[in-house]
Amino acid sequence: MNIIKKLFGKQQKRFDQLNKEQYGQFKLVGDIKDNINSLYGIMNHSSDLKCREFNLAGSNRRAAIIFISTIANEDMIQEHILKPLVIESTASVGKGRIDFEDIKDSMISANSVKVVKTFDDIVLGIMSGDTLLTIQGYDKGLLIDSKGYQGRTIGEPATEPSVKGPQEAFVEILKINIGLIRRRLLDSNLCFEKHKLGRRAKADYVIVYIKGIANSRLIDEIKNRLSILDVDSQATTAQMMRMIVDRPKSIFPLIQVTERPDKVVAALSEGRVAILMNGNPEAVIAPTTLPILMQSSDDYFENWIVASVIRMARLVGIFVTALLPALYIAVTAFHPDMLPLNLVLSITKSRTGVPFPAFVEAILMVFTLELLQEAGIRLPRVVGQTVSIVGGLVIGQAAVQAGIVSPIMVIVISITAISSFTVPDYSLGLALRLARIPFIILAVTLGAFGVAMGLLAGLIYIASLKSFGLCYLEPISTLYPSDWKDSIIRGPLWSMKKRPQALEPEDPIRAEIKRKGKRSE
Amino acid sequence: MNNPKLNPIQMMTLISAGTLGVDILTVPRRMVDAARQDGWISLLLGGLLTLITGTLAYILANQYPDKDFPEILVHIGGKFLGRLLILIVAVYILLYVSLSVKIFVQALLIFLMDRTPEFVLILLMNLVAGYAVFKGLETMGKVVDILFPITVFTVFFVMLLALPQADPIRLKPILYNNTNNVLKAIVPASQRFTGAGLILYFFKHASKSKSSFPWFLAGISIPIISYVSLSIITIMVFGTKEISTLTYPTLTLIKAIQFPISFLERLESFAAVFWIGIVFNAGILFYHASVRNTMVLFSIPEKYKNHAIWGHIPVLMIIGQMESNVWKVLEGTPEIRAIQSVIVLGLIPLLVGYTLLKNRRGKSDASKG
Repeated sequence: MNIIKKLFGKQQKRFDQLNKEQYGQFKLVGDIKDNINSLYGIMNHSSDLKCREFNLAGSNRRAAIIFISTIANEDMIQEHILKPLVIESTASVGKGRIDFEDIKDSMISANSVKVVKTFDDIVLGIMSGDTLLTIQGYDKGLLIDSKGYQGRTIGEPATEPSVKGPQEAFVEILKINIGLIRRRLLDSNLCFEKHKLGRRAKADYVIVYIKGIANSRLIDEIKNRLSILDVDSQATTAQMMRMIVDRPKSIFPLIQVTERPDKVVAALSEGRVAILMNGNPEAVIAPTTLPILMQSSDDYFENWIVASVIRMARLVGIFVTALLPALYIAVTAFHPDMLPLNLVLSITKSRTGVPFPAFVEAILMVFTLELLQEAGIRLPRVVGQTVSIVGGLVIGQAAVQAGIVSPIMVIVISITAISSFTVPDYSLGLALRLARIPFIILAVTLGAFGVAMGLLAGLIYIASLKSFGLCYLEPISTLYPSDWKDSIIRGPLWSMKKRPQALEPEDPIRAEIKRKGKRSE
Repeated sequence: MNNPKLNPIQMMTLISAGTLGVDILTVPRRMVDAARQDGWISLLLGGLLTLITGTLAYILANQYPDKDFPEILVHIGGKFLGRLLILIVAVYILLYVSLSVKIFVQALLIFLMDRTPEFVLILLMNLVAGYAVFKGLETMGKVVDILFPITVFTVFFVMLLALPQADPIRLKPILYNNTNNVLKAIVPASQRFTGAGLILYFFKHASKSKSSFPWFLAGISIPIISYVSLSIITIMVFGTKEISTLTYPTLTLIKAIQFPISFLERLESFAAVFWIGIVFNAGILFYHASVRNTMVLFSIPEKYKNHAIWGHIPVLMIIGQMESNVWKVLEGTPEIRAIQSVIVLGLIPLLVGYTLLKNRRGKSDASKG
């Protein structure tokens, strides 16, 4: 025994240099001093790692609790762990025989208490906010749930505002986010599967789906892809998911990132799968398609005709965002004869004195617009508004008066900018902004024909994209006609009896709604 | 979320899109040249003939559900004869694709891009079509699904706008001393609907169901209705004399439209851009067929499919550059049409007869055994 102890003692001294794979095999020993030293070694003597040694009540046996003060609830530790152990007594402790199960069941009133032996489990638990109880003479300890993160309260969605929908957004704490979903979806089949990711820094993530609705092949596919991820650490859910999408190089978002719990709930009800990660105020939904990314929560709070018209306006917005500068260049440089004479004359008049061709003008303005948008995001909200005033009004007006750009080009770029704000998904908006540049180049070289060819090539590219096996353009195809009701248009809710067939849900029927006058009663 | 097979509706759009090709620009002129004001009757009868030949093609495809046309030819004809037949079909399809692009590019040069070199336009169209084929049949199906309804809508929209200027008197006299010409023009008219034969290339990838056949017939009927209506409207607007002087009567028809809101000065240029989709749809589907022919003809393994796809570009470019005069392209294609007649009216019925006879013999042998 001593030999083993000596050997282990030597190993302990080297803990400082050990990585997770190496310390993972070591276990607690009977000496709490050794255990404390080992843990401090592994945690590199971190300043927020706290240890409190004490005698167990009614005996002289030494014990210690170890936790990280910045992520553990110290009040809870004081009240529900330390106080019972130091002040209160149980029969088993009084007799000098410690029954871990007895302490767990009778003394500690925490949510979750489990017996641990390996440093692998202990380190992971402590870093998650748990508290380790180690007792002299026992080569096992208790890992007690004492998580107590300081986090912000649930606020309004910052990037996905809604006029009539719920005004709650995810926060950084996984537990609260799970609650936000659970509260809206009172279904016993709602599954939250917890996993860990990261070689060095383990991060908790949860795969959410409704059993019996989500296709089991889809769930397995997502699990398989996540399981092969071997990374040091992962900061955000979106980063994690972008590593496992079908085409990581695609500029179009192949996952849906949302901060709205109601969007997640709607997606789960359709048979899609969501992923939440601790520390991330967002959920990732997979699979996703282009028509889904064009949907807004407000669509479902309005009359279906109104919602459909708004959706179509958004579709026009997408084309305007990507194509308007290119079409302007194509028409003015190659096909002025396509426009009415008066319009051609007014364009020509407005361009009088501008030293650059329309192409250079457009590139200058697009680049300035990108700078303004980027500056608006980076700066605090109050200053951001100043930037848009200075950029939009002052620079725009000054540039026109100085004769650097024509007023028509300012109008074109302004309409393009406004249209880009109609795209509900931020990542999709960025992709469309980027797509402007190749279209402008095609327009300046080949006119309308070049733009048309670019559109066709873009359509082919988008049609070839897949998100976890689902075509990116679904349901805009003849494969699943019943899904058309919620695509470019938003059909009446009573007509959406089936879940999206493209997702191949295990329970395809969503509702049996009978319209007024056709009720059986 | 598996790779889905083409469903019957998708088959319909593919067949329709494959049939509605570059002929949309020229069909009224060709029919007027062949049968004057009764050209639309020839077109209608030619369409009915296509429904029959298309049905034969469907029967043939149905007999070999796991094979496409070149594979069927090798299966029936053996390595030598089969490949010889593929060669004939391959040459025809190559010429068809190349000259279709050529005709359309000529229209673009007149109506849209008068300063751009022709070969640039042809090259770009072929490259984008090659890209679609490179992405695979599923992607092509999606692209056609999206483009087809838009393009068909624009065709009918144009006809609707042209209606106020149509004069039915220009269709008269109907069949007066013209029956022979009408009958003679039936076979050439049926050649406007070549796309029906694409069923032999796509049936292998289709989900087989009883509803497939009606959808297939619908797929042939849409172009028939479109072409016949377009011919009638064009004749009613221009009359036969004027049409016989127009290279692209459909685009001229758009030019003649008195659009109530003068937002666009030259609507025909706008339509030329829009109708790139029509030619493109048909182009990619025939391009796919051509790649399949090449692969089976030269026994190219699937892993070298990309070589076959991109290898088509120089060949298509060379054919496209061979004749610079579009009229010679339009007029100088009786050889191609002759090959087409041999394939549609000779080869396919022969293959169907042979297969059915063989199957019957097989069944009777089995019952005897």
